[in-house]
Amino acid sequence: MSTGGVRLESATKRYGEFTAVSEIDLQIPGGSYYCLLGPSGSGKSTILRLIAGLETLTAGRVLIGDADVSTVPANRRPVHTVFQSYALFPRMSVFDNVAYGLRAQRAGSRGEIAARVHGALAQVRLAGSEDRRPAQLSGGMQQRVALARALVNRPDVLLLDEPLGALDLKLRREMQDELVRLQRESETTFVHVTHDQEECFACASEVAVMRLGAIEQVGRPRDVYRHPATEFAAAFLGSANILAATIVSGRGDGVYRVRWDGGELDAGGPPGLGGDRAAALVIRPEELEVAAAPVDGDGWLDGTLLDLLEAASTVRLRIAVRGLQLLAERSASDVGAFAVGDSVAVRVTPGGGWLVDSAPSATGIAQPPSDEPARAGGRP
Amino acid sequence: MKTTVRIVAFIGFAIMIAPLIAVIVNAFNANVLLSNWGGFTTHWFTDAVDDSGVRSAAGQSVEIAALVTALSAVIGTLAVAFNAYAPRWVQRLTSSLTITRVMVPEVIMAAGLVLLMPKLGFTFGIVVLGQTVWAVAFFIAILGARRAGFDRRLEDAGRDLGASAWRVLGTIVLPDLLPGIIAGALLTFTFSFDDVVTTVFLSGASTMTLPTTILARIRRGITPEINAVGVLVMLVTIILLALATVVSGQLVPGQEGTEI
Repeated sequence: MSTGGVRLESATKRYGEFTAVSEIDLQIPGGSYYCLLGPSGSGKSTILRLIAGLETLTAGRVLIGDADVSTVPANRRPVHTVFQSYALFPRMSVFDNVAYGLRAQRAGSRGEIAARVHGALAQVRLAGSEDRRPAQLSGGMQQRVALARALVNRPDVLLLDEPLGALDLKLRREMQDELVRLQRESETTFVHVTHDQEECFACASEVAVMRLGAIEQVGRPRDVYRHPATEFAAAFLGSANILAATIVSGRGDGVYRVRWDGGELDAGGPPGLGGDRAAALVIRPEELEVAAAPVDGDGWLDGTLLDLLEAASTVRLRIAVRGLQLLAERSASDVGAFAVGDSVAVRVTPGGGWLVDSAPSATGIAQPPSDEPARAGGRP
Repeated sequence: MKTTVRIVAFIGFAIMIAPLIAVIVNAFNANVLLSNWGGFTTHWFTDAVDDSGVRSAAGQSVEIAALVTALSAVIGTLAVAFNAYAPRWVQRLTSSLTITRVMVPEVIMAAGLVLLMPKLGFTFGIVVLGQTVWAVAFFIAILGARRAGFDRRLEDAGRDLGASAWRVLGTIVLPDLLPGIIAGALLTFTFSFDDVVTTVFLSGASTMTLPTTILARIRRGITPEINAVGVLVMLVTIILLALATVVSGQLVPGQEGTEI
């Protein structure tokens, strides 16, 4: 049996003049691994603190399971938090850290508490570290203590605030798998706040993309990636070429005829965009085919290779095409033939474009909107 | 340039400690008139210790200082611990009030206390209360600095794990503040032990502490015995200050565990 979910109803949090979270409605299903994804300042950590009860709502309601907990203090809510950089108690041993919540809530006899603490530490593979101090542990181990300290209390909802931000890449990947395993084993609702889209893909069954205190889009990570609702969602979850385009006509089945600087193509999009109007065309880097020499064929465009960024299994190509800069991503095995400065040919994979409703200001460069930090890097 | 600075520094330092040297030297001076060096003696110290007036004054001083310290430590610790939860404007108000009490000349504070307490009569208890009013401000100023450096996320973590505000205070905040509390208490004790102004204003003739006794006797002329008393007071102060330094320096916050 999985635990209850969380519901926010018109949740608003203001600090004086500043609105951190604005009229948010959010439904987090019980037992899900839910991710709140957004740049700093998007209000995602505030939402976590509102659910935990560490901040009080200015307006609206928070429900955990079916109970309205809006006015319940933090220490009486059935949720626990893994804090950013852990907030372990530095003067206490690992055992005392993990036992803290059980003791505070008088959750059993000394023996029962000890048994549960040992169990929780075993669950995060830290058996034997009971007597050590947090300062004597590596970052990854501290992270596990923080997880055990929260999970040992069997919360209905576990809140994770940028839990992997302080770890190096290899450890982060390991912990992602570990978090997913713990979530399945404990059948607890996990709410994970991050600005890292990779983390989101690795862990979450559902994601809410946030921006400036509001929710931009909700869905499965894969769906949001393939069918972003806004330019911001497109740019923040993965990288994207976002291009100014004009809808020539709509066929009524979510496929549109679109004209952009590179010609005309068919692209998917949300229903009801209509025809003969401006929109933004989103093309994921892997949806651009690249040939090492000019190709005389339908949809192929001549370009110049500006830059070549190699990763382990892929390579990213920055290509100048008709005054635009396009970002393409190909398998590393395809790339032997390319050199910077070469003439190349580019084509959008059939069905590889997606339309979002937008002002016609897009510049054609793979960049998120300017009011947010750019995070074009990373591989989805 | 460098030599000038050194000379000025040396003169300044000499001026600072000259009175102390004078007291210490004359406490061992066998010449009763203290007009010149009459040979070394520890005679004045035995006199001072045997003097019933000095002994009762010393007893009074310790009693008052102990009570003032205890009151200041309890009130000050609670004030510092809970002030952090108050709204911003309250925090700003209380901190400027604290600084004001530290900065305002003690005479004015004492005069104000006299105005407030005429009906109560001049008693031992009033001296304790009067000293506590400003001693607690010093205590708060000392402890407040440590509280400001406390990692607030640890309190969030405690609350989040189900602990009440009092439990968080007792298990997380106070253990971290403890060295500051001890250091603050030792300093408060020395402030109270050395205090003249508030005591003179509030005690009248009935409550004689060591400093007020010294003051009263100096009016009749400086005696070697007074110098001996002065040296003893100095010793107590220096020992307490050294303790306070050791305590606050040794148990610096356990931040090693919260580094990122």
